[in-house]
Amino acid sequence: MNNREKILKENDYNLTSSQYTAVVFGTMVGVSTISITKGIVRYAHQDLWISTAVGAIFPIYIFILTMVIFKKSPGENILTLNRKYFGKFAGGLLNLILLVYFLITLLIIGNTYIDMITTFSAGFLSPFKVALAVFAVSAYAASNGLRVVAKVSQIALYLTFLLILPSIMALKEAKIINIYPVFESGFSGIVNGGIEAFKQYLGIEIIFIIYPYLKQKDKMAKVTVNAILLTTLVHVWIGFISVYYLGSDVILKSDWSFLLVTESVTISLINNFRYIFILVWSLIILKSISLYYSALLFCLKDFTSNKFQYKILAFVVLPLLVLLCIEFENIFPTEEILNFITISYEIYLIFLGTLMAITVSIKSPKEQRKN
Amino acid sequence: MKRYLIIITILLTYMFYLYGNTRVPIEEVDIIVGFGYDVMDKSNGQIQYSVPFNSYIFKPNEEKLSVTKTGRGKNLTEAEQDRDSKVERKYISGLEMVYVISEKYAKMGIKDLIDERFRNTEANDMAYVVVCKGNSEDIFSFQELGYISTSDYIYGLMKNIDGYNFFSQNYKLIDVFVRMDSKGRQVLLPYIEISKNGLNLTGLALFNKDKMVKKIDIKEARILNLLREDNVKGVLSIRKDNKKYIDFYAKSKNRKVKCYKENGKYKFDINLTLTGEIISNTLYEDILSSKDVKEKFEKDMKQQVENMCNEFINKMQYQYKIDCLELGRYGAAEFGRLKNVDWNEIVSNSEIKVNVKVMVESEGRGDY
Amino acid sequence: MDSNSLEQNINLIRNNIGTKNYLTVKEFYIGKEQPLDAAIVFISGLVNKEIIDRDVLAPLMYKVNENLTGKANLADYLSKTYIPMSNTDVIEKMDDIITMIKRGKTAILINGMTEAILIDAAGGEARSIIEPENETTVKGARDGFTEKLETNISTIKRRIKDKDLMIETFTLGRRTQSEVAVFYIDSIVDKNILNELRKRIKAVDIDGAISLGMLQQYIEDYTYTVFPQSFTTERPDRAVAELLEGRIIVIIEGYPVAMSIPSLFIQFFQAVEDYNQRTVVASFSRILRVFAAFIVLTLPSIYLTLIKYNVELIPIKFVTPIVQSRVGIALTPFMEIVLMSIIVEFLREGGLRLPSKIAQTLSLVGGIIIGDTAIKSKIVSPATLLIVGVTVVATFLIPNYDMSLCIRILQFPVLILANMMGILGIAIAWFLILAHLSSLDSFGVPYFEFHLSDLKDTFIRLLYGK
Repeated sequence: MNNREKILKENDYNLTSSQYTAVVFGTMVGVSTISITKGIVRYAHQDLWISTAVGAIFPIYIFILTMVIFKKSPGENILTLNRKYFGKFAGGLLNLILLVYFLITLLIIGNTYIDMITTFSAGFLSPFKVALAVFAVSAYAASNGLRVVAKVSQIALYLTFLLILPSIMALKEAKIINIYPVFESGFSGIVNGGIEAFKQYLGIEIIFIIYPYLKQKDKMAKVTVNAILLTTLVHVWIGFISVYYLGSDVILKSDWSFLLVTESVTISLINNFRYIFILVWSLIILKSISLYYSALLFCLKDFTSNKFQYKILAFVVLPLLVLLCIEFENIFPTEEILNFITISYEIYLIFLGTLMAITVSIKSPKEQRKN
Repeated sequence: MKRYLIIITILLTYMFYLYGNTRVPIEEVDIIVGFGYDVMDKSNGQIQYSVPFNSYIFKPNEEKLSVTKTGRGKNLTEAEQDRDSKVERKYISGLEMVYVISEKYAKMGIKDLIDERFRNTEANDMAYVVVCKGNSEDIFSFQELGYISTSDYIYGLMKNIDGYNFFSQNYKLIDVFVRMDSKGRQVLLPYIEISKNGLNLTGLALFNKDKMVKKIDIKEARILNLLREDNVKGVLSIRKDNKKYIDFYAKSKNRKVKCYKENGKYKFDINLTLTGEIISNTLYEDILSSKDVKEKFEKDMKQQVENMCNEFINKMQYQYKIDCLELGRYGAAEFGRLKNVDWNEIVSNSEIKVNVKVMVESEGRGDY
Repeated sequence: MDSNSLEQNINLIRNNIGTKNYLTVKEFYIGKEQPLDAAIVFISGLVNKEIIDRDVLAPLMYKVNENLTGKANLADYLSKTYIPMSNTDVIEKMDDIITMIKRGKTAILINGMTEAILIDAAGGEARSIIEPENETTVKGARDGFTEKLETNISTIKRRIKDKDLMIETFTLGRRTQSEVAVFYIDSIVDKNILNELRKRIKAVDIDGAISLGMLQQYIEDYTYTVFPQSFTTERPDRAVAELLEGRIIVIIEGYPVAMSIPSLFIQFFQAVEDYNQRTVVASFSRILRVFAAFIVLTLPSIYLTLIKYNVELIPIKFVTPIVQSRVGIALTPFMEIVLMSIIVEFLREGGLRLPSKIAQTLSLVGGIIIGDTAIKSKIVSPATLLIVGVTVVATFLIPNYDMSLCIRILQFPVLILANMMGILGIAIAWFLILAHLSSLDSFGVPYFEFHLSDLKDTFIRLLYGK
């Protein structure tokens, strides 16, 4: 091993605290964030912004599970642990479900993005072209390792806030009474909305896989909580400002309600904020896709028993991804199927995490804590 | 190995580049600056939709023209397709400045066109929406001197509407989106018509949900605006005779609406604060130096404004029977949005109290 | 030396240095009664002959009034008694003697002796220290590196008096056998990087180390990237600043530029001035530079996508002038921008090597005639020309020449992607650039990385001492 490799190894798969935060934040905030109000408004009406906060229960639960697992075996991620505790077959099956999940998530993000970019700014592009371009660059980023994606996520994190900040200007355009009366939807409405909001926090499960890669292990709790807090902040703000500006009746009709809010921001050089928004949001989504791509590669590498390098795996699955993405509508023809898949994966993740946390607590010998 | 990969990548990129690329640059497209929406009666009793648009055309000799193209059909989409088939060049929308809806169309309901605009991602949500007398096509072909197109003229008219008569700027497409179907809210649009001295703003069109119900004139519109809008400006005057009068340029600030229930009946309090400056005065003497005179003016003005408001509210409650002051919005915020109540009815049958506070902030350079 | 015969030794040296070389060999006698056969050997041109004549030959030939035959430690004795110079050395190994002669030292050989006295009377003409032309400052130091390694070493040593300042030399190039000096401050340098650098320099096997750029490319990690991976400077004060940050400075003989290792992306956007000026002013110019890089990369592409794909997003007030200026232009917007950018590249590349007098003509023809006529003949529109012009001006804000070239070149792929995919193309181009930058490293140190704690000296420069 030469000196450069020595230095590289110290750095490479070890993320700094802020990079780790950015990765966790980056998996949760992505393509669906601007349409966050869509599902929730049906239950929570003008209280939907409270529901978005309630939805944070999901990532917090996953985080607690991860902390339990992390305390017992800080060096191995859930993929390794699955095989270790449940044997080659059962463990492999659990990992395979996770792999399929990441694959489907990638397809959903890709497809939603294609929808968005073709309706909003580039209707002249064929879905194939968009899919190929988007997945190819994400494959490039993901194949270069988690740290590269993490750095891009860091920039994306700053950009996310940069994008959301101008919507403050919408505050002076409308009145607070759109929010009132607070709590009208009642406990059940808000909680139902919160459960609906769970899927906005999907992505948190990436910490099952990446927790061994944090450089400063003692900061694990802090950085994860930071990421969850930031995400919640973004979600609540988007929920709040949408209700504030549009009112719950209009949100019910709009798929991308936050985009309507940003229309209120006028910049003198560009007709409306939409151009900048789509441009920067594209970067943020590319980051999301590369993050899930990385997660997929982690699972694939585990699945192929570490035989192949990321570089090879990334470009081997690329054609498959593009193909599945343009055939997406045929594979998942209705929204109900997608909803069903999402909910079953929410349950699966909770199940898997809980199972592993219990198993680790019972089976793991004490001396492992030394690591 | 790496070299081959690079060559393959370049080749693929090139193929990718060649595959489908159909867009024409900006100079080869017409730019739509205004959309119109008309309906017409046909001889067989049916109605016909007519949708003109107003667009810029650029000529090489630095000349700019605007043309109006119209399409007709049995419904909105058909009319639009008919229109598009008549255009010889590609055109783009998204830069439109105004949507002009004819009164007849508005009375039949604007839900279809709002739905179409809401769906269309290219629609400019910041364009003004106005209602016109007659047909929008006539409005578009009416040439106002010094303007390339009528749309430009209407846009200018709307842009400066908030300087007088207490008009607000809330007549944009996005304002229609957020008002039309929201609880306790009503659409209100400027009304324009061609008169002998040009194209003018002559009042406001009141809507009930998506249908226009009534046009009110500027005088009434002024009171309505004062009661309904926040932070607006306008002139109020007290007139004894032609030579003795006072003009007060007022800004409405901190408008507060309170909604409460008494004995099962809804009650609304509208609190207005008018501050501003006296711009001309031949009625009161010594208003500059004497505190008493100033207070007297403030009291007189308060009385007059309250009278005007009450008069309008009466008319609204008994004649128009719609909640064009959006009082229901405050009611909904107080008592809940989820109940299915008709705020028009409630507002028409409840007690509405107006409290006005007048404060003179400055009197100008001096008392001449 | 294996032999003590003067003639054999001289022949050996002559063969090793090259028979057809300007080797000066002067034979003379030392001492009375039984004078010794001696010879002085040097390469003319590298040596100050005046010193040799005055301080070496004159004392040895006239002042030695004793019989030196059979004296022990003769070389040592001679240099201590008769050669009034500070820098003398007695060396035995023939290889070393030959190397030293090549480097400009003078050797005195004496018959019957296996040692030689080496005198440093280096001379010959060299460029004096002048202000570096490509990295000028308003308030900074005025000296720059020169071609002469000794001078460069002295300029650095003068600035750092720490005992930990280490200078290691390597020989590079089979034929040029240039000296390479590696500077570092021992107590703060990363030893892993230092060892790696040593290893890589030793592994370089080339005929001639003509320039630093070559060495850069021999020791870098990523051959295909466009980004410069080691920072170069002509300014000793800059080099010293790099040393103080724990970096390693490499200077090749005969090349007035130093390179620092490892290098980071943001380094290329920082100038010496930044540390000389008020915090606010310096921070402002730094932000301006990063913004300039952003403009160079994105402005033409944004303009292209706006007029080609997303016309509805230009404010109506801008649409009219833009369209009016474009009506009747035959070229597509993409071709227009590429064409103008390439013409600018012509001017830049052409102006680079022209004598300054002719360069004026170039700027006249290029700037005024081409610009003006291009518009009048309806080849390009004024708006496009403005955009390209702004881009070119923005390029000059990037303080480092390597980086500004790199950013200019990157502009073209971004433009092509934008032309292909509109706004998505720009996003993809940016993502690729960011991902690529993130994947680079310089000697194992990440090339492009954010650390919140470092932000006080990246995009802005915060107060000292706080």
